[in-house]
Amino acid sequence: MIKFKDGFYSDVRIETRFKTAIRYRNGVLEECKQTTVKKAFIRVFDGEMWYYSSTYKLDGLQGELDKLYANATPNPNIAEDATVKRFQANVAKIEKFKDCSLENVPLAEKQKLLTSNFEALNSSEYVKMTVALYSDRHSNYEFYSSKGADIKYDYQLCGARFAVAMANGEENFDDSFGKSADSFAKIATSAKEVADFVKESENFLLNAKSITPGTYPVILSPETTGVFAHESFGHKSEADFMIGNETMKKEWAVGTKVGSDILSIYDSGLEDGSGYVPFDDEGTKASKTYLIKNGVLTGRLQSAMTAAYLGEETTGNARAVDCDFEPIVRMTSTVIEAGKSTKEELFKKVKHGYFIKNYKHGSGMSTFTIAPNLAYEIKDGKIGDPVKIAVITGSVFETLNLIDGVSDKAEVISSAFGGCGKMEQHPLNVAFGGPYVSISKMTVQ
Amino acid sequence: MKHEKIVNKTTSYGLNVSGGNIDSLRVKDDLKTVIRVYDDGKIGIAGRIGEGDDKALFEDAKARLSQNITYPCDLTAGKTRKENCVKNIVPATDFVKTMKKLLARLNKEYPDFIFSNKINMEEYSSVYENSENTRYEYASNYLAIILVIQHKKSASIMDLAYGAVQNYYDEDKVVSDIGKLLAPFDKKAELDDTLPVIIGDSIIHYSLRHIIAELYMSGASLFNGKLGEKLFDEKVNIYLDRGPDNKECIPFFDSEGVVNDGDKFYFIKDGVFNGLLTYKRTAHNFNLPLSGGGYSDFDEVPVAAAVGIKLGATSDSLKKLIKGKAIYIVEAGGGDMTPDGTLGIPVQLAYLYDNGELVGKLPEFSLNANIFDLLGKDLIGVAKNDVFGFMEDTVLAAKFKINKN
Repeated sequence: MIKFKDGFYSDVRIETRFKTAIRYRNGVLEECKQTTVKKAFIRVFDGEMWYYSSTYKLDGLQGELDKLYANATPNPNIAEDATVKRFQANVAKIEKFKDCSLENVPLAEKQKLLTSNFEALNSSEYVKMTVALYSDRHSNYEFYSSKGADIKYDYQLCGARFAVAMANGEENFDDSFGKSADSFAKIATSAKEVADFVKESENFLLNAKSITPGTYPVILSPETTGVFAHESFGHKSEADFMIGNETMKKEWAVGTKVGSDILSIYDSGLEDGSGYVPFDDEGTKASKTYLIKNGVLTGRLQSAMTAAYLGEETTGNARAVDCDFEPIVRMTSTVIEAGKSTKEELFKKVKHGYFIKNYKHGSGMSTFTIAPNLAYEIKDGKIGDPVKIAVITGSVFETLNLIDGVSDKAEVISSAFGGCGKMEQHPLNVAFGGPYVSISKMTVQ
Repeated sequence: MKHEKIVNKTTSYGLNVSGGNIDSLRVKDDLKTVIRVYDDGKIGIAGRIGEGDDKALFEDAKARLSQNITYPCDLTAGKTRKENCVKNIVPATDFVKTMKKLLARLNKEYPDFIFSNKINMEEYSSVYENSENTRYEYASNYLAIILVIQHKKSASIMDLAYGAVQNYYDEDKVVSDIGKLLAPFDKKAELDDTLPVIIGDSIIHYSLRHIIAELYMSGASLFNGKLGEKLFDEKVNIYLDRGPDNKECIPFFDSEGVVNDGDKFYFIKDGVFNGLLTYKRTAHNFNLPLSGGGYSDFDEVPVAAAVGIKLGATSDSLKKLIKGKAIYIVEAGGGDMTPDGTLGIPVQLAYLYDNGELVGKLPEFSLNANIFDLLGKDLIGVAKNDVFGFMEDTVLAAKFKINKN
């Protein structure tokens, strides 16, 4: 039983994380591990400074907490602090994955999910190397605070990924395909799906053309729309970037028109998948936050500290990668909402442009970037030859206003491999997605 | 049964900087132990966080041999070496006070800018030992000042960053460096697309996956079939450097206890493709030399990792290498390379460089280059960046295709 001391706000977060990682290269088993790690992160706030401790000494939590108290200065009015006032004191126990825990799926079944697709993975003569990956995680979280929070919940995520490196003479290409979800049953992958992926990669290897760098209309797939939402506007919506910056506060005031009328973006920890966060890492309940609604800025992502600074409310977005780190403002599932056009209508209006099917990575500052992997030319409204594009870029401020089409079905895409990086914390499990989105002008290199 | 054990210990102090002020101190102790056992061509691995019973860990590793992961057993015999590179940087008890003073000075001297992100100080030690009487010990520490900087009139989430990793602390040098970085921010300069470009040596990282043995030996590397041949200009040297004087706490041995001659392994030597990034599995499978590129966390089978890879300097001074004007890249995130080696690099912030000084801010643009030309006919040289005093880095100067936005 943890004893919290008066005169401070304090909380303790404990995570027990079970992980599996399996890797086959060219059909040979290279990695097969299952590990459980239990760590804690402790915070003490005296109204001026935060004092944190990350520890694996679970039997010495009280001692670690007392050490932090010794560094801090007691504050009799700590309860009146604007940040402390915003901390919720939720009491809850949510065991969403108790009956389908990935810990209970036999290791042999996890391996079989990969090995059953080896033949399909080698279905092209141009395949030079294959890698098949399985990754899962089941976490049990506990959170206790001096305000009375007592939360227990679980989280899980698994994924299978199939990668090929291909070559034809001096030409080379590599890509990967996979599924990630919150239960093992949802990531079942058929040999046909893998073979189709290999066939498309082969087509790219043999037929991809270079492009002339310039500005072109671009259509993004739901997956690429997701990374666009995340990089172009999601990071901009993280309120910690506004601290001390009056210009940002003015330019990004709620109610400002920032995008075209057909654009709505939300972030929600309530969506199933890799962005599911029922309580954030300071005990705030998840919510759905519209960042942009019909082109107008309607909200942003907050921790208790940023909400207090801006005079706004918490949103459940204070998250840490694990118990090595403190929570900072992060996204959960960030999604562009579906619109009214059909996918075909978006393509029809493009005379000459590019379709970005998937991506390798993205980044977001004043200019956001997406490095595509599979991309195609669009000619007279139809998808044409594959093309080699290093990167597509645009100014966030301009590009949100250049969105001229949003299709009528949105997908939310999870990922068990990689994740979002911010400051020193990477990779954080997030999800993102949306419909097909057309942008009238982007820089293509 | 042959076996090896690695114990890694880290103590770190992390400060969060927000709106120009330090608002938190994080203290973290980490202790990770791994035992690997080898039997009949197989490997068994067990890892632990925190203290515990090594006998139990050994038995756990033995039990994991049943997973049938094939792995060569090639343990170094009878070697010992100890390197203690720990320096007095800032006493832990003075860390908050010292860095608060730095932030107060930055806020005062550069009032148009807002500083945020992290200042970390870390002490790290690693001990490798095996059943063949080899024992290596390494200890080091560093201070990392990584500040994200916004102009107060900017609505961008960041305008530029200052990043320095050092084994000493000098407040005056940090303040001076940041002054040099911020001085041109408000001064507009014209973009002349015929000028040479100066960019950080991390640009070579786009090509590093193509020197990893697995990819190269499969035939799917961009450099396929060129091992042993001249690949780049003879000024180009790309090597793994595990010398104890590195500032990033990289031990002189890799995660498998491999130590290179002179603590270096050359992938590109004088422009010639000299070697591949290997670890014990790939060195054994493809009969290649070990490069010291093995990496693993406390519970993993080793893999190849591009850690500590450097582009060798051809000049000890950027001022000597580039006389006159050039384009100096400050922020260029998010670029990539196509399968044929074409680089596309969006530039978020660049300055006009003139005889060793940063003199004005250029409009946004993007760069294109082919990796073979960039490190070949278009390369001017590689130099130690002597624009700054506390931040140490190496920059490459070359001709690029510049695309004005």
